[in-house]
Amino acid sequence: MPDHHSGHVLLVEDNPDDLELTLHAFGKSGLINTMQVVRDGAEALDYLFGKGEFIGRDVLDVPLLILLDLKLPKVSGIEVLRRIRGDPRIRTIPVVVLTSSREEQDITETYGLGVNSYIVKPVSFDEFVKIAAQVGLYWLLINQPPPPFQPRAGA
Amino acid sequence: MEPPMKWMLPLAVSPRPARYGVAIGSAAISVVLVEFLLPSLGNQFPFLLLYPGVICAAWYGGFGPGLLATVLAALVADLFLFEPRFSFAIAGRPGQLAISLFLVVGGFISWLGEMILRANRRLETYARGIANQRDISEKRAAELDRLNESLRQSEVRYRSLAIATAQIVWTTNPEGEVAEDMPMWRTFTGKSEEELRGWGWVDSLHPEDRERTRAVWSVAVRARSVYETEYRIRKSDGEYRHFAVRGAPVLQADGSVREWVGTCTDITTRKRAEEALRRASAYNRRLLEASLDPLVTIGPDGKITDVNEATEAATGYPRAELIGKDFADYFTNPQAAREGYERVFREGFVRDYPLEIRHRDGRVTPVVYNASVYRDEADQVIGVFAAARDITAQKRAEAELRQMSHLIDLAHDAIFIRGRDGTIRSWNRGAEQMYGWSGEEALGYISHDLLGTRFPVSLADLEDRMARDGSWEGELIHSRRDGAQIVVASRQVLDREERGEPTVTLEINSDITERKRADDELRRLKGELEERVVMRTAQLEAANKELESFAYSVSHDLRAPLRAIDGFCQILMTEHAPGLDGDPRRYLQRVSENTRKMGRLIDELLQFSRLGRQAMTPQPVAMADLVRQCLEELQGEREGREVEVILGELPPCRADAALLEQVWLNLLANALKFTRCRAEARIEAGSFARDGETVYFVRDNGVGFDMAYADKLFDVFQRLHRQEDYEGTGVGLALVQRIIHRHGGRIWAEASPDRGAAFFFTLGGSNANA
Repeated sequence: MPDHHSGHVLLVEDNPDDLELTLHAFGKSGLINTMQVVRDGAEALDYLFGKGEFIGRDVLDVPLLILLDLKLPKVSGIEVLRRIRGDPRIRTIPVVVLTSSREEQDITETYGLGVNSYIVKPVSFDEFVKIAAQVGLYWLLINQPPPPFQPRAGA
Repeated sequence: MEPPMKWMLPLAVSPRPARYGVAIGSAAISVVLVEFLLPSLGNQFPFLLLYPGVICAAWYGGFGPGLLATVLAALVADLFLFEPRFSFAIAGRPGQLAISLFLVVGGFISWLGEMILRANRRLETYARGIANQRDISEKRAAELDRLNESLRQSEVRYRSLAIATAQIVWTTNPEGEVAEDMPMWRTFTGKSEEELRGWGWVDSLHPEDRERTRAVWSVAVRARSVYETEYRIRKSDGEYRHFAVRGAPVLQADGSVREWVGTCTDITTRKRAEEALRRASAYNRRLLEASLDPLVTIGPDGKITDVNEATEAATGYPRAELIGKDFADYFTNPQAAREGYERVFREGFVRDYPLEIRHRDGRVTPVVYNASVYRDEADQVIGVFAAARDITAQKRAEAELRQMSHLIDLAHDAIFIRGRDGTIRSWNRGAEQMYGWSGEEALGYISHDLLGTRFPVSLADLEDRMARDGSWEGELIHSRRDGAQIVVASRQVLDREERGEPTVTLEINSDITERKRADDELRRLKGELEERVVMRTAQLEAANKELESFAYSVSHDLRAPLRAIDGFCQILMTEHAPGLDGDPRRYLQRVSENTRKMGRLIDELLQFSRLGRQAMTPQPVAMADLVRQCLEELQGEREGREVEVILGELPPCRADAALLEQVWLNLLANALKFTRCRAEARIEAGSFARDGETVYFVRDNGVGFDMAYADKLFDVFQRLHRQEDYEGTGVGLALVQRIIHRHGGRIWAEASPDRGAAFFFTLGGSNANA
């Protein structure tokens, strides 16, 4: 098994049950990466762009992976995704949508915005744990992350 | 000739009483002479005086009268001369002797007289004979003279006649050959005597007549019979003239033919007259027959004397049968027919006399007769000439016209006719009712004035259009008599005569005032309706959106709590209560199972609701491949089981492939599911054609179901089996039905408990384009 890539994972989840279960599942899957949790879209953007509560945070310290719920208070997951893909500094971050929605519309839209993966949370916790393990394994171990952002000279 | 008069002839022919009268007279004279002369002569020779009387009587009358005169004289002498006087008794012998002597001498004289008389008669006869003979020879001479004269005259006459008439006289020898000059023939034909000789004369006949004439002439000559024929002779100027020819043999005392004589009589004129007459007659007949009208001539007795073919057709009887029959017999009303021709005889003619001809087969033809009398040369009426005109068509036309007229009056529309000047010529009841003007009031008015017509275009435009197209259609506004304005849909047509000249305008107007009002109302309502539709559509769209967001919520929010319940149950079971056993653990499992089941329910329900909204993309589908692919997908279900799958004919179709896959997946999964209890499951997928469409089916040998519940089979959440026996949500077949219906097809099932089930479906017309 290859080494874990260093770096943290950003988990955007508003539902406390889902949050807990997700953390639990990822915990059980043996991932050692730090989980940064934000509870809505706005907070996620603040975190990513070093604003609000996260002012001063180094924007270039990007997460290895973003686990994004779609149905979020304030700013929706779709919007968050759009903002991520719209900023050259962070647009290469792999984003995996982790949602309860099977709506085609959501799937289409997120892929359109360049999501890396779309996973429907199964109702069965057993299955969810399996999926969490697979996602972690793949994105944090198998997948080669993008190189860090290099601002162009003189920029 | 008168015979010469002879002196003896009166005596000779004097009748017997005259002769005896002379005898008695002579005797009386003798007595007178005796009485007066005797005394002076003496009584010596008394008888001397008596003799002249006897001689006279004998001379004149012959023996009888002489003897009578002798006896009478003797009696006189006895009475007056002999004693006793005045008595017949004679005294004395001398007296008796004298008387006897006188009687003898008197008898002798009488005999002599008779002899003389006879001799005279013979003489006379002889003389008459002589005279007669002379007469006869004189007569003969005169006769001869006369004959000669008449012969001469006859010759002259004959010659003149020959010149005057166009007769040609000819003679031939007994063999029928021309041997002598025929001057007349020669003159007529301009041929020479030589040319006519023998049979040469035949060459002057018309070529067509020559052969026949030769034959006829030869036959006559051989038979010595009268020769009679006709032929054409070519005149010297080239004209052919018709001749009637007659010839006869001149026989000699011994019966042999001395010669043939004959004449040719020019009958050209007669021929031409006959021909003309024949032509005229044929012309008349053709004229009669050319008429389509039944023509008939009727005699004064009412009998038919002639008919044409049209009459044969009208009556059904041939001409021969009609002629001589009563004219009146061929009509439905013979009495009227009789009165008809009687009136013609009386008044000279009838005009348009209506009758009905009865055909042999019973058919009746209505006719009108026009008839007049016709007369002979002497202007005597000899019959009636009657021409019938079949008026069936006319009657029908009249009836149709009448019906049309009624029909026009039945119409609610105003129908009227305008003259070229715009004046109303005809005005139906519809017009009366629509405009309030009666026909009498309207006639003669200019319609546009009367009705105050307001045109949608200028009147000039309208009239231009009428002149160009012959018709016009449009809406007009008219004023009724009561002043109310009405809108009419008007149709106007220009009626043209045969040459195309416009005559009148026919106009039909429908009152559409109400309709216009209704139209306006309708338009208003339609506008309202459209508004409402827009509103409703917006509402519907909103509702749809709501539904979508609801579905989104369901899919997203409803599942989250389920997941939490399950998640925490699992965590509880696996991490926090490893020692938990028995009921608490089982209950936790039941909670977990139910959450999952609910998750499935939500998923399927979502799928089902999405199906109604999802757009279909029909495309050609290779059905067999699709079915194989579905079986492939369901492989898991077959693990560890004995399942025989039979794939029949599965023709391609046109459908939404993804949806169709759902159909097959559901049906095949069901089949697999409900055959689970079978040691050897058998599943068949196939199709057959029925009523021009393809019916696909899936059949299994599973548990089947009771057809009594077949109607519930396709309802959402309806299940025919217990959950413990066969899991399921009850959405699958509802989903299948919805897909089939969206394709315009049908789905149905046949089953019986424990005997398997079969599901059939069609895809409407959509497989036709596959």
